[in-house]
Formats: sequence, structure tokens, C-alpha cells
Amino acid sequence: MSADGKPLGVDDFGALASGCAEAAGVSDADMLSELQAAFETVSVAAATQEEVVGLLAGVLHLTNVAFVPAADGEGAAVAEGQPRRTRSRRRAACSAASNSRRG
Amino acid sequence: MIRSGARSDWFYTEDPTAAEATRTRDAVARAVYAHAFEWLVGVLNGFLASDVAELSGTPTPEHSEGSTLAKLRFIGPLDVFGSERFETNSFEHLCINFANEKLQLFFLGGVFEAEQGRYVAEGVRWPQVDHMDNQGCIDAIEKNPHGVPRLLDQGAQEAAE
Repeated sequence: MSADGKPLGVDDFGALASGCAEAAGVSDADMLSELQAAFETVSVAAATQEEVVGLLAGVLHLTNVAFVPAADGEGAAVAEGQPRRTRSRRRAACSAASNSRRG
Repeated sequence: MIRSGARSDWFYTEDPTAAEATRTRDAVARAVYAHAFEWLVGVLNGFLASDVAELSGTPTPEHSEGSTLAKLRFIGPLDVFGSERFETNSFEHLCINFANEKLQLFFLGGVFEAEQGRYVAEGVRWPQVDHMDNQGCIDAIEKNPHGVPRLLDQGAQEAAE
């Protein structure tokens, strides 16, 4: 959750900057169900699955921590404020990839 | 921001720049992710092993066939780029090495080219991964008219005439 209480999406994480968050014919919901079924097949308990998701979320949040030069000029400090939203830029990159595919 | 570390019996502190802190952040993220991945491989290997043990009847003695199978069934990286090379290399070694090269080409095609093709089709921004292409080696052996088996055939025929 972000500070304003809204759930975070793909575009809120710098580590997921693949340029395209959606693929035609690929349903994230279906793939999540498939992944959960696969975890169950190999006897990974639901509680452990939650921990895996939590761990991955932790990695994503960690990679969103930005650093800036410290105010006193020595070393660095954690940047304050919300991570920069990059939705519009990503969408542009995504359509560029689609165009080059057609061309 | 000051970070401290310990190495054997002495301590040090340093004040990283923003760029250094960013690199350290990425290293920690990669290490956590890599450990999670290794854990997952371990879970899958453990499941495959226990699955076999169940099929062959538990408990399975260490030396029994079920246990051997359990040890054989695991997930790991495939490296078939193995060539036999001895002081004296026989025709068998040529055949074995050729088979390995063919397997490697098949593996490269399946893993690198097919996967990368899928990434491109889905529009994932993906740096093409260079891999060693062994097509030249295979051509040297099987491509006509100068492939090695062909030349051997030809030589044998000429000797017989």
C-alpha cells in the first residue's frame, strides 16, 4: 500500500521496468492461479506461499528505496517522498515495442 | 548514512555516496532473490525425490533402486558441452563428441532462442543474450561435401576399389 492507502501496481516499482507490463493473451490472474496450483502440487503450504509473495514484495520495495547526496555534503541519505510514477513513460515504451514488432 | 561492517576482528565504517548506496541496495536485492530461487529449486528437488520414494514404497533403504532414482531425479542447470579428449582419440570419441555438439545445439535452440523469441513476442524489453553458437563445429562434421564422415566414406570406398 502507498502512503495514500491505494494498492501499488506494476508501474510503481522501478525493478519491473521491462517497458511493458501487459502482454496480449496473457492473463496475470490466470497465471497466478496456475502458480498457486503448482505450489500446491509440490506441497508448498499456503502460509509458505504467502511468505514467498511477501519476500518478493520486500525485494520490490527495497529496489524502490532511492538515495540522494546527504544535505551536509557527506555521503548519502534516503530520498524522501513517493517513488516517482513512471506510468506514461512505460506505456510509451510498451507501444514502441509493439510497433517495432509489427514493422 | 553510515554503514558499518565487521571483518574478522576489526570493524570499519564508511559513508557511501548515493551511487554506492544504490549499488549496495541492488546487490542485497539480488542476493535475497537468488536465495529465494535456490530455496525453490530445493523444494522442487525435494518433492521429486519424495515422489519417487512414495512410488517405490517407503521407507526406502539407501542402496535400493527407489533411492537411486530419487537421487537421479533433480532439477539443475544442463551443461552438455562436454567433449572427450584423450591422448589417443578414437572414432567413438568423435561420435560421442558429435552427439554432444548436436545436443548442445538443440539445447541452445530450445532455451535461448525460443525463450528470447517469446520475450520479444510479448514485448518484454530484453537484451539479447549472446551464447556460444556451435553450428560451425557441427557443419565441420556433418556438412557435405567436406564433413568428416563423408570424407571417411569416400576414403574407404577409394581404398576398396
